[in-house]
Amino acid sequence: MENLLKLRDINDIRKNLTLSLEDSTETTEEQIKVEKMVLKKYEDLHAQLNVNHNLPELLKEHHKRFLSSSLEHLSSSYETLDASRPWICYWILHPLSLLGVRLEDSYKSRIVRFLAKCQSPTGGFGGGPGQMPHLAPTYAAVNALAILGTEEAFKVINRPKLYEFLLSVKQSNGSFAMHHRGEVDIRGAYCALSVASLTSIITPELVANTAEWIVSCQTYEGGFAGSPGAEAHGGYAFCGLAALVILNKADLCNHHALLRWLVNRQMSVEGGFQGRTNKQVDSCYSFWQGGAFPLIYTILAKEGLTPENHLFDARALQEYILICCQNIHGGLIDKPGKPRDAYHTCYALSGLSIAQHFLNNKQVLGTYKNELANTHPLYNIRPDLVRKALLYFHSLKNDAT
Amino acid sequence: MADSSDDEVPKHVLFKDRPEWKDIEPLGEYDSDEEQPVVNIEYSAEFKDCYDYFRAVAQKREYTQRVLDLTDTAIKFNPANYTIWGYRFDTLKALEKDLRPELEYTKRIILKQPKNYQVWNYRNLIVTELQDASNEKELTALALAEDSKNYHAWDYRISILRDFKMYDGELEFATQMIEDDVRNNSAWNYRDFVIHRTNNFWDGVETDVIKSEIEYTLDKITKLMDNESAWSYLRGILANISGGICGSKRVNDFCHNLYYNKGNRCRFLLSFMLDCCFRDHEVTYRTKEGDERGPQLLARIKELCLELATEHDVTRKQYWMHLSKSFEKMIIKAELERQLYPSSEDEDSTCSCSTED
Repeated sequence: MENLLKLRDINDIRKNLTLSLEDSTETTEEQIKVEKMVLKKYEDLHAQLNVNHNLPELLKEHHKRFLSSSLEHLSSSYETLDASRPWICYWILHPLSLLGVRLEDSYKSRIVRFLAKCQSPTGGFGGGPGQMPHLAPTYAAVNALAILGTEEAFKVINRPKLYEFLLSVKQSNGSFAMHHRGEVDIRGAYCALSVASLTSIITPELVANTAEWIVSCQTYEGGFAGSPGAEAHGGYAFCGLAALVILNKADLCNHHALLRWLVNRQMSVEGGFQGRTNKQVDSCYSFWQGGAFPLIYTILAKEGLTPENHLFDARALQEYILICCQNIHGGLIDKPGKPRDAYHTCYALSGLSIAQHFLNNKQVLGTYKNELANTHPLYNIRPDLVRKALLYFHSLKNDAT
Repeated sequence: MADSSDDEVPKHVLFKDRPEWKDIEPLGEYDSDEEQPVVNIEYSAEFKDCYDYFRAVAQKREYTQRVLDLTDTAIKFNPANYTIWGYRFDTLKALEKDLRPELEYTKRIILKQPKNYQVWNYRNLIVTELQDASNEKELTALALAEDSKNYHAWDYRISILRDFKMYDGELEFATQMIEDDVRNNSAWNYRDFVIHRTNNFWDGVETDVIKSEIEYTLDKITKLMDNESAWSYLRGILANISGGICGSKRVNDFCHNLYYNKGNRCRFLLSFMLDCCFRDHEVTYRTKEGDERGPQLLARIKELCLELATEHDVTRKQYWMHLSKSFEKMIIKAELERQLYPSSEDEDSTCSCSTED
C-alpha cells in the first residue's frame, strides 16, 4: 500500500504552542524560542506551497554531494572526532545507501583498507589507526563494512579476536565497558550484541546476565538510562531495547511503559523527537526514538496487538526533518540555526526512512521523489545488506563447527 | 569574550623543534604516503606533530615525565581521545606519581568540556584509586550550575553516591534543583534515585515518606499542570504501594477533583486516569464487583482514549486509538478467563478516580 501524506494544518500546529503565562522556568523560555523558529519555517513553507506544489522536497542531490565530499576530506573542525573515524565512515555510508548511491568497487576497497587499519591486533576496532579498541568504533566499523558488503570487507573482521575483545570488556554483572578501563553503560551492551549477532559469534557466555542488567536500566519513566539510576534517554533507550530484541528477551522489560515514554517524546509543535523529558527537539532522535517503534511493533505482534499504523505521528516527523533540518547546501542539522554534520545527516535521514515505512506500507510526505530506502531497525543498515552480512558470517560459523 | 585562562598555550612549540625530543623519530599513521585514507581530517600542523610523537613513544612503551607532558598537550588538542587518557593513567602509575593533582587537572577540563565521556570516566578512575570522593559533589554542582541537565554530571553524581554511600543532603539538593526549574527532569530523576536508595519500600505500605513525596508532587503539579516530569515522578512513587497507580486515595481524589470539578483536561492527567482505570480493572475483575465494573471501566477507557486522540493530544492520536483497541482486547480476554475460571477469592481494592460517581 502506498500513501502520500499532506502537511498538518498550520492553525492546528499553532494551537499547541507553549504558553509563557504559566511559568517562566529556563526550560519553558528555551522551548518557546525553539517553537518560534520552527513555526517560522512552517509558515514560510506554507507560503511557498502556492507556487510549488512539490514541497517539501528532500534535497537528495545536495545531501549526496555533502556526504561524498565528507567521505574524502574533512576540515580541521573534525579534529575532535579523530578518535571516531569509523563512526564518520558509518555516518556517511549509511545515508548514502539510503539515498541509493552505489560506490565503485575500487572506492569501496579504499574504505575497506582504511577500516582494516583501525582494527586492533587484539581484536575490535579503534577510533583510528593504532588506537585502542573501543566498542563504539567497533560497532561503527562492523556496520560500515556490512554496508560496503563485499567479500573483501567481510574478510577484514577478525572474528576470533573480536570475540576475545568483547569478552575482555564484559563485566560480571552482565554489562560491558566501552574499552579497557572505560565507562560502563548501555551503549556497550548494544554495540557488543549488535556486532556479535551480525558476525555470528554470540555465545551464552558472552550474553550471561546482560538482559537482566539492561532491564535494571529501565526507569520509572519507562525509557532506559545509560546505567541504573540515571535518567531515561533516547539514545540509551534505543540501545537497551535493540539489545533486548537481539537477545529475544524484550518481554523482561515493561514495554507498555516504554511505549508511553516513547510516544511522549514527540514534540507537538515541532513534530520531531526530544531525547529526554522537557528537553528540546533534536533531529538525531528521529532515529533513536523513531527506530524504537518498529522494534516495539515486533513485541506487540507477539501479543496479537499489531498496530494498524505508526504509533507516532509519521507525518509530523517528516515535516520536521524535511522543513526544519535540511541545510540548503546539503547535509542535515539538529534544529534550525545549527550547523550541518555527518552525525545528524545520518540519523535524521534514518529517522525519515523509518517514518516513511510502516511494515509493508509506505507513507511519504511530499512527492515520491522523497522516498528513501528502508532501514533495519536493529542495526540501522539497509535490510538487504543486513541479510547479506548475516548469510556470509553464518556460513563461516557453520564452517567452523 | 574569549576565555583567557592560565592553561592556554600562546606560543606552541612543535615537538620536532624541542631539543628534549630530538631522540624520537615521529611516527605517522600510515606506512607510506601512497595510502589514501578516507575521512581525511585536515589536521593543524600542531595536532599532527603532537600525535606523531605520541604514536612514536607509545610504540616504544615509554612512560616518562616528558610523555606525561605530551599527553597533556594531546588531550588539549582532543580530549575525546580515550587512548591518550589510558596512556596518561599508565604513565602516572609507572612513575608512581601522586594522583591528587589529577583532580585539579580534570576539574579544569570538565568545566571547559562538560559533555566529554572520557574526562568524566578518567576522573572516576582517579577517585576510585584515591578512594576519596570528598570533592565530587562540589564538582558536579559546579557543572550543573552551568548546565542543569548535563547528563554526564548527573550520571557521575549518581555513581559517586552509590559507590561511596554519600546520600546525606541529597534530597535537599534535588529539592533545590527542582525549585530552580520545576521542569528539570534530571532533577526529578535524581530525586527518585535518592528516595529509593535511602528507603525500603518493598512491603507495599504507604509510608510517611511516600505520603510526603505525594504531597510534594501534587503541590508541584497544582502550580504547573503541564509538567510531564512531575506526573511521571508521581507514577514512580505510587509504584511502591500495593494498589499501584490507583492505590492512594489522596491522589485519586486529587485527579477526580481536577477532572470533574475543575474541568481540567491536561493530557498528563487524562493519561494518568486512563492507566488508573486499567489497573482498577486488573485488580477488580476477579472479584464479585468485577461483573458490574468491567463494562463500566472499559467504556471509560475508550472515552478517555477518544478524548485524548481527538481533542487534547492529537499528536499521539494513533497511539491513543491503538491503546483503546488493545485495552478492549485485553479486557475481553480477561473477562473470558474470569467466566471460564471463576475465582472465589475476593480482593478488596478499588479506585475512585476512574468512573464518575
